[in-house]
Amino acid sequence: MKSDNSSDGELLQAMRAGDEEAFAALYRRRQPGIYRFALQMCGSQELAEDTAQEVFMVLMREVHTFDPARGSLSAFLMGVARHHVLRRLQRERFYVSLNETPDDGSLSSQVFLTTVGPLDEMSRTEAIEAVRRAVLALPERYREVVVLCDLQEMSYGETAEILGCAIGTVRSRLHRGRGLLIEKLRPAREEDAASATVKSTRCFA
Amino acid sequence: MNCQVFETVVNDLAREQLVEVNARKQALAHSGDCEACAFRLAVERRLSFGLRILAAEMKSRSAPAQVENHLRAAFRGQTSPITGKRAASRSRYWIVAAAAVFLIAFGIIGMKWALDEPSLTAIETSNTSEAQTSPRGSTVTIEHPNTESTPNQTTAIYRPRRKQSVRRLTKPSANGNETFVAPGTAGGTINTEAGNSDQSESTTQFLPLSYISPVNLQDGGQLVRVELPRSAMTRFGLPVNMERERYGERVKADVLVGADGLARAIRFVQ
Repeated sequence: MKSDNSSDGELLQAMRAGDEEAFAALYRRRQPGIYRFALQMCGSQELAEDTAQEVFMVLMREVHTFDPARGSLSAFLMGVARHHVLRRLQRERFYVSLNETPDDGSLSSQVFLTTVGPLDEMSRTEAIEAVRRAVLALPERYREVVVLCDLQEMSYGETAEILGCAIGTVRSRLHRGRGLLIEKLRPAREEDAASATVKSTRCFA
Repeated sequence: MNCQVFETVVNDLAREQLVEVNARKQALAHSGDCEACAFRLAVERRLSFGLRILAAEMKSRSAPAQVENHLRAAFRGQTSPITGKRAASRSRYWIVAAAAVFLIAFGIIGMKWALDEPSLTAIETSNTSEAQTSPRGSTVTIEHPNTESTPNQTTAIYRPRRKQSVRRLTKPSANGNETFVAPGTAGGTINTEAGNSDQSESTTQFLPLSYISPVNLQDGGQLVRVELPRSAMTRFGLPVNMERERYGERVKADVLVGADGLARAIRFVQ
């Protein structure tokens, strides 16, 4: 039985030899990140569970496709998860869940970024919900970068490895994604005021 | 630093990422001077804070235990999972590859055989006027007028290859052979090679009885010797001696009957 101190490579090696405990250790180590990534990307627990399961099924079936020279196991698994999530999102794009509340600019999403009042104007739960909904409303290409960099707290390099793009692309997408988030979370009246302020006071000194 | 440069570092500042010391100092100094940039930085920091609390709230979330149980069961379910699957897929690959090679080889041999084989094979048959049917082609049987008296009869098997159009249907050759010319094919002819045929017999060209599509002749056909009243020649625009005693005579003609049983063309024999 493999201990949790073993590296990913050692666990993978043992897993290839048929060690179930090594597989379980690997699963326990990598599953939470994958599950959270899927949950933050799609907002559905069911899909997140499905993704977690699918990713490790892929690891079981196609472990020989993983090449350590091309990247870490973590990035490999996250890449598989990303593909699975995007595929599912694409498939289910035309379905609208009846349980989901429409993003109608309700109070919770409108007051979060107001600088007039402090955060305690809204409850912590409301704030979390507002941010969660704003993230889910982002286009997928920006959402995945925000999720990986800001919610999963990965570096630009790790994110670039998972997405298979350049670090500069990650930076620019994150910048754009955060800009969109701010727009979604900013109350309408303040947005007008802020833009007016910016127009009048912007300096290029 | 101006607002444009500030915009490039504001994300990293708000996310508390590593920023070069000088750039950080200048950015913070600029935000102190520029109200808009200060506001921008504050909004970015607030967003980072919101994202951080969302991340913290989800930190404890993970897949339920039943997923692990399913995966463990699946792992146990496959005996020697990786090597076995890979070996199976490899053997399947080799089987498919061998089958593909086999099919290609057969295809090449078949094509070569089909190209090498002459399109027309004369088969000598003895004392029979039955149509010979080839398993790979259709049959045209040519009955010569004097076949009843000759011991040998020639049956020509005609295998059409591609679309043909019939323009010149007969071409009496110098050696007395009858040639069925199917334009569009170099060797696509019916050559009876009837050395024993009556060399004194002459024929008109084939006259179409109806519209002949080249496709109709692809399945082959039969030449049938018939006798017609002499007056029938006039219908095809042929000159006829209109004397009373000869008018009622009968003339011989070869009718080209298609595979569908319809008469396609006719030629008169003298």
